[in-house]
Amino acid sequence: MAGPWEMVIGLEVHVQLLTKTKLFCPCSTAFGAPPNANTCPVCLALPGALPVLNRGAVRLAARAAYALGCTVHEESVFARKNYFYPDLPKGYQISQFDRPLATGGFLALEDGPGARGVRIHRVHMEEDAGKSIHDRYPGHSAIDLNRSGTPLIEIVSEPDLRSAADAGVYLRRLKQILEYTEVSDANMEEGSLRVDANVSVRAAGADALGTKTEIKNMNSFSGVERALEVEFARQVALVERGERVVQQTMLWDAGSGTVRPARSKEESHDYRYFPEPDLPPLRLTSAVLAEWREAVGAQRAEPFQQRERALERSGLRSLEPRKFREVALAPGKQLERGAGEIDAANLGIVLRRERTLFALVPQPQAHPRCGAARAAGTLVRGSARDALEHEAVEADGRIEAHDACEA
Amino acid sequence: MSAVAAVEAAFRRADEVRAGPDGLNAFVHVDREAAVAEAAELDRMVAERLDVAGRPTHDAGRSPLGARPIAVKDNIATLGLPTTCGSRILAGYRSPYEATVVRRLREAGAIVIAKTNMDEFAMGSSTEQSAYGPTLNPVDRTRVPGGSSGGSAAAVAAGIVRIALGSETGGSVRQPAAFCGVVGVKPTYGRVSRYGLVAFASSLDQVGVFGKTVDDAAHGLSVIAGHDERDSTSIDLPVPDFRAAARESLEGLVIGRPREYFPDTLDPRIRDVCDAAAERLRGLGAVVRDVSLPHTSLAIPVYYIVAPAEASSNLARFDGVRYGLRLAGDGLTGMYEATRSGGFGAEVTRRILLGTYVLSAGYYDAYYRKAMAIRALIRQDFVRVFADGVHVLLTPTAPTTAFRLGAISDPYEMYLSDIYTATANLAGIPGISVPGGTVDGLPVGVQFLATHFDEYRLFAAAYALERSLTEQGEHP
Repeated sequence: MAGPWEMVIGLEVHVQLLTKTKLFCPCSTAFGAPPNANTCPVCLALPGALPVLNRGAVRLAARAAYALGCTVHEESVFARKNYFYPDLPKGYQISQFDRPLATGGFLALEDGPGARGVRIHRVHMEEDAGKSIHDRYPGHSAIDLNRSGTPLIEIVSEPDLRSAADAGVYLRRLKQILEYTEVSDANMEEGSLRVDANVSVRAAGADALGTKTEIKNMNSFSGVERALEVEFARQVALVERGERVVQQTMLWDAGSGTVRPARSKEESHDYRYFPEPDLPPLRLTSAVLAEWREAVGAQRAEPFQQRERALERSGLRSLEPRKFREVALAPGKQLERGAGEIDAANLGIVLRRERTLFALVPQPQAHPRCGAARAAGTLVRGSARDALEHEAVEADGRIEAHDACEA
Repeated sequence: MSAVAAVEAAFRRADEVRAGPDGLNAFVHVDREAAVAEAAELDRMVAERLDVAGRPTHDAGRSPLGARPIAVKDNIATLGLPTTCGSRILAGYRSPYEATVVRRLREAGAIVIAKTNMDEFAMGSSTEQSAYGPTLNPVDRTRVPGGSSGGSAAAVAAGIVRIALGSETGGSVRQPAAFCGVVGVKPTYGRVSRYGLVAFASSLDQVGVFGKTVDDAAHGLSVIAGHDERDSTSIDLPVPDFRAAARESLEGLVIGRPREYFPDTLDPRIRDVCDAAAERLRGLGAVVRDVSLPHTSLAIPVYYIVAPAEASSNLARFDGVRYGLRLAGDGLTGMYEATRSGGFGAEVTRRILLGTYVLSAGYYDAYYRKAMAIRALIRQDFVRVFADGVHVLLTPTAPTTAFRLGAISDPYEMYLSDIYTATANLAGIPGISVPGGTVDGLPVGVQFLATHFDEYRLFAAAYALERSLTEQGEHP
């Protein structure tokens, strides 16, 4: 066979929801606490403990689904995904399987009517695992379960993407939507947004899909784009040599710019899904769903593109957070807890959230008392929270500003 | 009687009957000093008329149960005493929190004097599958007390406590109650919080209560029943005063006698005990009617797919990482294998393997999905019978009386001991076992079943039967 070859990409994106507490227990989701400080019998999986669903997380998940044009179902079902790993304390993850929260959305890759886009297959809710720490104690692994039970959504696209560049556009737009709807910080470097990519090749114009591989372990959007190009080239080379692509999981190594197959143990799971008997089906009334859908609709109608263009003009958009810190902070100016916002003249409002900086455009009328700024649609979520400092963000009473500042 | 006197009397009785490992082996964790100290504190609060929070109160103080010593099955989380589920894998484990049912009992004036022996992780029908060795039946110490809550049943039967907690997944309270000649009630699924009950099969598990009398069981259930926000499967419905059922007349009560529970192969002496009980209730004004529950014979096969499937997942947390036993092995997988192979006994291992198999890719539809469909039919059988005007069903609790220790070695034969009880767990309905008579000096239990959340009618029938037997001197 000969080219030209077409790349077919589907993305699975895990996103941490901005709730104050975990998905199934009242423990804090605040980042930076001492290891295992934010735990309780439920998220430690002590014998006899039971999950109780955080309704605030459901609201955020539904908001994301509506912002992606999905249908949110009146009834969805939690399921257990069974596998053994030390940072998965119950020996199963509570997720959703054959009855997800939402299905059938769309994310446009361009503006304007008739724009190209990607169909969203499904959005489902699940809990995060803890963290294994392998490099701190020689000969031992340590487990930190602070993250265990943190609410996530998984956003699964249809295999509609055809280039690494489009995958990048998809991810950046997805991130904007999640930030703007205040569903998530969507920060890949911090792990609040994680991407797995399914990739296959086929002769351009062919209908049938080729055998796919799944790429994991990517830490940035640019990393995703590079990994996709590398894997595409690998698959094309295989096919052109007359060999078969083997369905397997590939791990991206950003240092060497290569992909390598995961050890078979890392992929050959039979998860033995079955409905979670500790939680009744999640039922949402049509009235509640209508209210949530309308709220998202109103948000989407705000001048989204206007904000984006202003960000571009400021020259800050393209900077990585670390670089941004250097640029945004004038010499001698320290980010302090309580400062909340620093009006760095032409650079706009600079805010701190945990260890990351968020940029905002210069907006003379937007005093960082946020109310006005939010109304003008100029603040991303994290910044609004920090600027408000100790006030609760109205949009979501569960989240308070000082959480973020105490990290 | 003061709480201290009551607790000390219970311990004296435990000594007399040798409740510990040298005798009945009913108790696996005991701390006398702590129990007496707790009783003394309770007496002080009652004397000073303080409520559970230590605030002054105008009523009797912290003691609606009347300062009762109780015993609690070893799979229900308690503060103080260990919670080990009769398993080596949890040897020495102490829960840092307590089960909702235990908290409610303590707040009502109960004092937990012991954790009781059980089949490991509640998997068994004889209390022989315990890491602590078997419990003996106080009625005949060569026989099993039934299971899996055999230690609690034995503690009540031996006269040490009047109320004890057990747990049910397929009959683990009602069957040992029948074998030991005490009362055992399994509430409707969702009636009692499972928070702190170590899960075996989450969709079947309920905490149950043993009582020396029907009134003891009704009393205990009244205290522990009711919605708990920590258990999403507990139902927010008002809890009637079950003890008021003692005053109910049976006039017009419709009792169904399901023919599938009285097969030709049933021991005729057990059939006679049940029929005599039905006759007594008829004499009190009840109407007895033959009914059919056609899917009954499928209950055991369905149960042994659903329960192991859920168990295989529920028991995954016992992995040697955070608590309990950890045995070294080659790498992570080796540690898992060593810990779980060394920590779980044979029956638990068998069920984990079975459950893992039926949930596996390619087998799920053939086993688990089909079992859940049949489970719905079993439930539907009950719903239909109760919709047809039947108020309670009357059946044998178990097909045999207590068998000899070691007599049953074939797992499937053991599973059949739950043939008349597992249906209620699959359907989620409540059931109670009441002593109905004896065969060769061994107790026979009569079971009543009612529709969802109608424990009150169960108790009405149970009180009436017990009173009728007692009045005619046929009840100990």
